[in-house]
Amino acid sequence: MHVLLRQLRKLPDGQLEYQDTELAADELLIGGAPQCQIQWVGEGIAPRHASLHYGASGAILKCRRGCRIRVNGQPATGGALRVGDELHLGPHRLRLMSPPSGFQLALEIETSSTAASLYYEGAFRTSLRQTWLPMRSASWALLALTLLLTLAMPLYSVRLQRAGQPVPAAIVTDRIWTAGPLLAAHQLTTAATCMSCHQSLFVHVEDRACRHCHKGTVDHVGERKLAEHGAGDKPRCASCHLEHGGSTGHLLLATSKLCTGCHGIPGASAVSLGLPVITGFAAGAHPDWQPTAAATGLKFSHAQHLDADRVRTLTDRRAMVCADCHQLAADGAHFVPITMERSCRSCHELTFDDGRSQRQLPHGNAGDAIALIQDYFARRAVDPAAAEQWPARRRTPDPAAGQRCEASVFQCATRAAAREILLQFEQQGCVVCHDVSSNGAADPLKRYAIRPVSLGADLLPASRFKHTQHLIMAGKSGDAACLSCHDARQSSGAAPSMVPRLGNCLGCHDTSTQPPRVPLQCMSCHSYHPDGAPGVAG
Amino acid sequence: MMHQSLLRFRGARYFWWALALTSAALMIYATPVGWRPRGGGTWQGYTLGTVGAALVVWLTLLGIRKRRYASTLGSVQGWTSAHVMLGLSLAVIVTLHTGFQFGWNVHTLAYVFMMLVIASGVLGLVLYMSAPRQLSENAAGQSRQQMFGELLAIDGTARDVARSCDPSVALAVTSSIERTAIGGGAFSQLFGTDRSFFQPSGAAVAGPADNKDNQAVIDFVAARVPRAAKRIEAESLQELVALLCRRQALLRRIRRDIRLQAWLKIWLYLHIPMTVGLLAALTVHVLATFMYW
Repeated sequence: MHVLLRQLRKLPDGQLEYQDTELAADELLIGGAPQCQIQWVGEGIAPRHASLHYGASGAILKCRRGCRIRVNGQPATGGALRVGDELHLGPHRLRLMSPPSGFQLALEIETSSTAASLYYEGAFRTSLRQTWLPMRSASWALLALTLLLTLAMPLYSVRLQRAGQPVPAAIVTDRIWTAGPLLAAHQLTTAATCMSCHQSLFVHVEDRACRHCHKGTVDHVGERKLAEHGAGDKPRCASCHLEHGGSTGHLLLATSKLCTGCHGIPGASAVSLGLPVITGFAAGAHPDWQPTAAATGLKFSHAQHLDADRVRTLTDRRAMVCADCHQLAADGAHFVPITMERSCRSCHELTFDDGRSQRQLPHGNAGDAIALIQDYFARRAVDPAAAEQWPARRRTPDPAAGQRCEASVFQCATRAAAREILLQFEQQGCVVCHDVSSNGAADPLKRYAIRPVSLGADLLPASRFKHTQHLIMAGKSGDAACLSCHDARQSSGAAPSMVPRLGNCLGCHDTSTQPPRVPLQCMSCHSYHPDGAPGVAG
Repeated sequence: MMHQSLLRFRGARYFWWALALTSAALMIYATPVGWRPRGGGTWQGYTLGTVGAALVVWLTLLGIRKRRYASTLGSVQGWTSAHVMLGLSLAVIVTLHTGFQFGWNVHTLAYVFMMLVIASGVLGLVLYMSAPRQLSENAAGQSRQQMFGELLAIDGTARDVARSCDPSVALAVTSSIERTAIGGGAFSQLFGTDRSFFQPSGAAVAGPADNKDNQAVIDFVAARVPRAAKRIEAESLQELVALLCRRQALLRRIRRDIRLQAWLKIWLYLHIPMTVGLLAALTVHVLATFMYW
């Protein structure tokens, strides 16, 4: 369209001057922006406030959204205009004139410069507030999104799970509330479903949730015992067994503080049961132990056997070492029990009759040994080949044996057997290693009692100790490692005397030193309230 | 100077407050936790968490306090100083509260929101420390409104002078005014991109030519000065060149002002929404702790 713009301007003397401009444009822009053909700056005028088109019915005004222009005194958002119509926007005025020939539109424009400079900035976007950057809407969106994803959806998933309905994959479940990864076994068995354990909202995890799987687990401390000792309510499983620590977490506690929390406080229930106060593994903090002092029933000198001047191995004539007799059991803590057959007989044969017999006495049953001796002498008396079978190898004079027996053959044989039985049980046979007691009965089968031998008994049953972990320590190995704890070279008595005492262990494991040497937790050696301990499951 | 005394308000009072609070948090953290692992579940964790949550709520109150002009509850300057200092100490307190346990859960989400809020706050603090000096140097005593008023006046004069010149010069000058880009979108405001054009009629190029920094139109008009047929035309052209150069200098200052002001505000566009997100996540964090404890 062709437009004639007539700009009216008031001169200082009050006269009006006008300036005509011809334009060819599809639309005329009215607004504060410099690119508007009709640039009006002022309060409330948008950069592109309105536009003028020329259609079949004449000029058409169209305001931008939210904008108004007064047309003939009335606020309008748009509409068809006729010649003579007047538009007012702020201090500015526009009037439609009758277009001269060749023009579709003729406009008389009066632009006010009053206060225009104050509002010119409004023709541009000069603040971040005018851009797409959202602050308020982003805040609301973030608020809604956070509450939806972390509260509403998880609560809905809880509702579905309680109703036994499947939770759609698109739903954020209550797992977003997790305090950390589960123990792998719990992750597997609960399928990471929170309500397996958290069965009620706002309620601590109850023991029945644990017992759902751990059916056979008894209470570590019974309610009755707790009540008896005024130790308060029974703690929940989860009071000590903390989940959400992952595979290396704290579900199974291995810290001394859990134990010393009761055992280390004078006046606490554990102490009132008569147990000592234990605050750690250090002198004065932990009692020395008392090995179960049951006698072995055996006469044995470690010192003698380790003395190379007195005892050497039969095959290679070397001094004995601990491992010649003591072999670690598969558990690494205990030893294969010492037996006559495995550990002693290779050196200590059970020959009798001063070596004339080719046979050896049976071990382990006194009656069998006595019967064998009696049988041996009876046969020797009646067997014609006896003289050849049992050649005379007398090394020491035996006045009793050397006397000629004038009695019957059987009686003589019986007397010889009686002498041998006496020798073996009371002078130099069994009695060398065993405690043999005699009741003086005439029948040798009823006369002797050998004290039972007890080897391999756990001398410290309330504790665990791994010998395998101590085979090499502090630069020592082999016998040196063994002897650094077990004073075998000085031991001529029973085994319990060789159990190392507290001070020996503190040399490496004292927890009171700073920094601790090789720190031990209570659980390193002890089980938690082993069966039979006071207060357990009572 | 406001931006300096923000940190040194009343002898850096809140710096010492924050230092005391942080030290107290460190001392609480250092106390033995017994057999439990460090984290929110210990008494130390609950204490630090409660202090942290209370601080978060209090810190958000700055947004309300600074809009209540009639309030007598301390000066906004004091509040802002405390906001900065205690907000920084919050990073330490809450990190200790976590016991360094993080995961893909709402608890860590709240922590991430909080650290983003603090990081954006630090960005804002840095900007508040540096921008005001640059702003005042650039403005040279003029307000933004005055600068635009001057621009409107130059534009009007330039249009009038151009009208009396050769139509091609008039078109070039008018189009350069009409197609001058100031501000614009967020990116343009922050980085001062200038997508101004002008219409150089008679030139080889048919369409609008680039008029970045208003330089091309100055060159265009200046090139016409030696070719002016009449002396009066040459004078008009010289006046135009002078006007356009003044306009160029003014536009540079306006654009720099817009850019600095935009940077002075941009951090808030992260700070505020993240704060709202933090409040939501913090609420769920506390709720979840007690729903599943």
